[in-house]
Amino acid sequence: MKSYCKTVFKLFFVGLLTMVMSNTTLADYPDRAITLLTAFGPGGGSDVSHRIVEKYAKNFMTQPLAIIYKPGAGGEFGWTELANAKPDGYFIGGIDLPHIALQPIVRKKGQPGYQTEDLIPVAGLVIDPGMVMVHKDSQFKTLDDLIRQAKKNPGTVTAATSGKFTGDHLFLMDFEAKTGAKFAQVPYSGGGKSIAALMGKQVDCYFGSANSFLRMESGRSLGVSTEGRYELTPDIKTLKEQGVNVVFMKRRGIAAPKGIPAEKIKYLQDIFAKMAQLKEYQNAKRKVGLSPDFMTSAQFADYIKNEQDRAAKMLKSLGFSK
Amino acid sequence: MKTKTADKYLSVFVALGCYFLIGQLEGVPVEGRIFPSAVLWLIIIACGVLFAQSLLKKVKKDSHFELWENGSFPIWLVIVVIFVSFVVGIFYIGFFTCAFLSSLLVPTILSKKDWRASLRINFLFASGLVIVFYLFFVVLMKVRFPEALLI
Amino acid sequence: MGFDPGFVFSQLINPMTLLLMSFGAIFGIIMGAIPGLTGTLGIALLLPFTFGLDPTSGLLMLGAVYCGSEYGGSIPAILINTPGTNAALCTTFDGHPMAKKGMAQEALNTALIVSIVGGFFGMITLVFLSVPLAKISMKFGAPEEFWLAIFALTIISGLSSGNVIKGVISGFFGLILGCVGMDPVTGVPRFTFGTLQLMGGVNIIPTLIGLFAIPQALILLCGKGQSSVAQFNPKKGVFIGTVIQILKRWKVLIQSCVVGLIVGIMPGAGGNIATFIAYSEAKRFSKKPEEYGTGIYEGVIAPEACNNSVVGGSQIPLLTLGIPGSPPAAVLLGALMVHGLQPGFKLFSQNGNIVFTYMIGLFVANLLILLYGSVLVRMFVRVLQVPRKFIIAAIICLAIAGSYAIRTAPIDVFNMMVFGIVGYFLIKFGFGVAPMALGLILGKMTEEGFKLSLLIGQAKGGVVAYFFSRPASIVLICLTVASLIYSFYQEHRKGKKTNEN
Repeated sequence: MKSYCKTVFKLFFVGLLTMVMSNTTLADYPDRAITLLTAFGPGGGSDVSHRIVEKYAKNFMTQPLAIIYKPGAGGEFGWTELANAKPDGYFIGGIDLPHIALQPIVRKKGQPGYQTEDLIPVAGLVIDPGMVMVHKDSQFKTLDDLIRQAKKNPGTVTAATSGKFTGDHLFLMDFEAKTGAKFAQVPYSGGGKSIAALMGKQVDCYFGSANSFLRMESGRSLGVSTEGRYELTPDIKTLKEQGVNVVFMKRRGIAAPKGIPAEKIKYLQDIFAKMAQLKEYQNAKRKVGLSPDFMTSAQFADYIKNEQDRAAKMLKSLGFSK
Repeated sequence: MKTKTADKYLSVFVALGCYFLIGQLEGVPVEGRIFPSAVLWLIIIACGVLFAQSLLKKVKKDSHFELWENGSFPIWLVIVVIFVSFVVGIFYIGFFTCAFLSSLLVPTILSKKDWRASLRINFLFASGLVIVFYLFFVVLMKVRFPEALLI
Repeated sequence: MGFDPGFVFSQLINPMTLLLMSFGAIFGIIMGAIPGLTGTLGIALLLPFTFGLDPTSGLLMLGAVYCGSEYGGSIPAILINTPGTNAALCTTFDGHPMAKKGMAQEALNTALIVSIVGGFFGMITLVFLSVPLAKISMKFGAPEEFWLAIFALTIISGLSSGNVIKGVISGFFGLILGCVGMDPVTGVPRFTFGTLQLMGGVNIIPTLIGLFAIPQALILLCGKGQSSVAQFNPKKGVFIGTVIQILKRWKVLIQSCVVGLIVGIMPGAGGNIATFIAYSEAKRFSKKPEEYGTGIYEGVIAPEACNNSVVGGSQIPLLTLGIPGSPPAAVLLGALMVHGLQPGFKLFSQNGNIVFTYMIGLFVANLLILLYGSVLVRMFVRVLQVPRKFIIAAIICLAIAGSYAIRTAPIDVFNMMVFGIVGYFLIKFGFGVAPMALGLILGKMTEEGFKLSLLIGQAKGGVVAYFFSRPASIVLICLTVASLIYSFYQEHRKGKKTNEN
């Protein structure tokens, strides 16, 4: 009996030791593929962006990146999965701002879902500023034309956005507040539908992002919402230049669930930093209409906090508070 | 029971259900409410028509509606129970264990009188199925089935 | 439009390209054949493998997957009455009855041959008519989306074999199911009962699997455990015989291809709606509509030709405007962008070679599918000889694995389970599952079209005017009204006939 107990004890100890070791040694992280979650469906903007990351991060990673899709509820489904995943460094996901700052604020009380703080930023990768777009044949040749029309006849100028209470909507709201113009918002479920609507002349204008504009065949941009001229569209005037003080940007990056050890964040961040240095990576991103703008984990965290404050303030001032 | 009676009960049940659902739309702004409430009202009207139809229709040979044959235990209920247990069981004892058990159990039950004789082939089938599924879904497609809580 | 025929030709006879296309085609057929896995997923899965390839071969491989999956979906539809892809739903109406009558080989061959014809048709229009058709697809906006969905809904009455009212109830309930979840237009959740899982709405694929596969498994219980699903005796010369049967019915074939093309070019309307319309139009114009649903060739020709024609149609707005006409086309869009190809008219002038090789290459892909398909058909048909007890067990496992594999979300499996049981009762009580499936598929489209038209109409000063004034809408409204009048007329005629008997 005694020897039996001893064997059991030994086995238990060995098991315990292995478990403890497998969770702490950084030396053998990563020892298997790392899952990269896409909170949208295949073929979309996030997917294309992640594919580029997968292609170029490969050079610096010992293990492959496995992309999985968890679409639903405008990203909320996937990001909640990400927030609830095991923080062992093997499950990370792509996040979009201002989406992850907005969704928890806008969510109804009592509705389960992630909180912005549940997602720990690893690295910021690209930016995508807002753009006011019309069809090439539109009567609106300048931003002023559009604003004047919207002020003269409030609620008759139709403006497409991708969804309600999303980044595009925030952009539109900010624009309306700063110019006094009132548009009739037409929320489409997704950028693709909004582009189609504008190109088919179903709506007068589209408050979207530069990415959408660059994909359009026959669009005209009336202004871009950056501080200075945007690198991918240097010929387009900024909104600020034209007297509208709106600066708005969508940002994409990588995040991990809360509780992930700091060394693993640093490991991942360094890989993405190296990848972001590659000229081919940068050009690939530019080609699909995104501007590379790397941020470290700390910088990204600060940025997210700012976005949260901004979003809360703006929603409150417009009466949409909880 | 006769189909006509079943129809009557159904139409009332569905209509009440729709009424409940309309209540669920409270708090939703007008644009989001028009469409579902319109459709739900249409269903209620349709239930009314169904009810009226079941009262008026004269069918020479009314079909009998039975959920199971009198006396014998409803086999479909057994299969449904196995099915539901399978789905729930995935999270406790793993997908492949459940797949094996259910693939063994279902043919065994359906072999009725000679289940003992066909036990061996049922066992082979269950094993074969699990292997094929494993190769396809896990190895080829790299689908990560949920981690079993109990194993 | 500049392209070099020499380049195109050399690319296509390159053995490596053919190998990749073959792999894509077979992979696509398998993906389509497994309920839960779709062509969309298949394309997404192979996308990273194309990184190391040149864009042309990579795109051709993915295109082959798309074509293959539209054929693959018909296989389980015919054999076990479960659609492998959304678009194969209508194939179950006549495909499975044909299998039960012992004509499984004919059905499978029909699906194969007709899929290829549909594919060819789609490709021809893609190559020659892209530009004019793209211009037409732009005219399709919110009101058209709404009216198209309403038109498709009038078909429900034709789908229910039996009590029309019950079919209508089932269909309308499907519409309600489509409203569950976060509404993109108002940003407010509906019918979610406070749960996160329902925020994403009732997912179509697990629901379809549940509605079709599980009741089928339970219905099979009615037979003896040892007996097979259907009698099957392998016959020789079935292939040629099938071709002759199809040729006799060339009108249905052409008509369905055209429907697939038209609906395909409309952004947002994909294969499933197209096949419903094709099936119901074939039935409507036939001399013996009551035969539909009993297992006739036409019932398989219509949906299968149509869904492969959609492959070509949906890529017209994709390549010319960058607007995908269906979910798999959306993934192809992603593929194009990752490879640095910007879709649009520029694509034809700057990368003419790649685009034309792709388009013509899809013809070759279709031929490959014909080749491999005819071999695979002989294998698949054996399924019918397996004893029922095994089929039932296998369906259960497949339904669960398939619904989980979509996005590894437990809620999808529960979704499938719930609708599996609901579906069984729907059939037992005479409501039918097809109307509910159609309602769910159309629900989002109908409501979105309605709400967006409402918003735009309000801004433009006249909601009613906006709904009824656009030319494309008027065409659809007339079709809807005609459809309703015709079905009433049909019912009246049927009533007269039974009275005479």
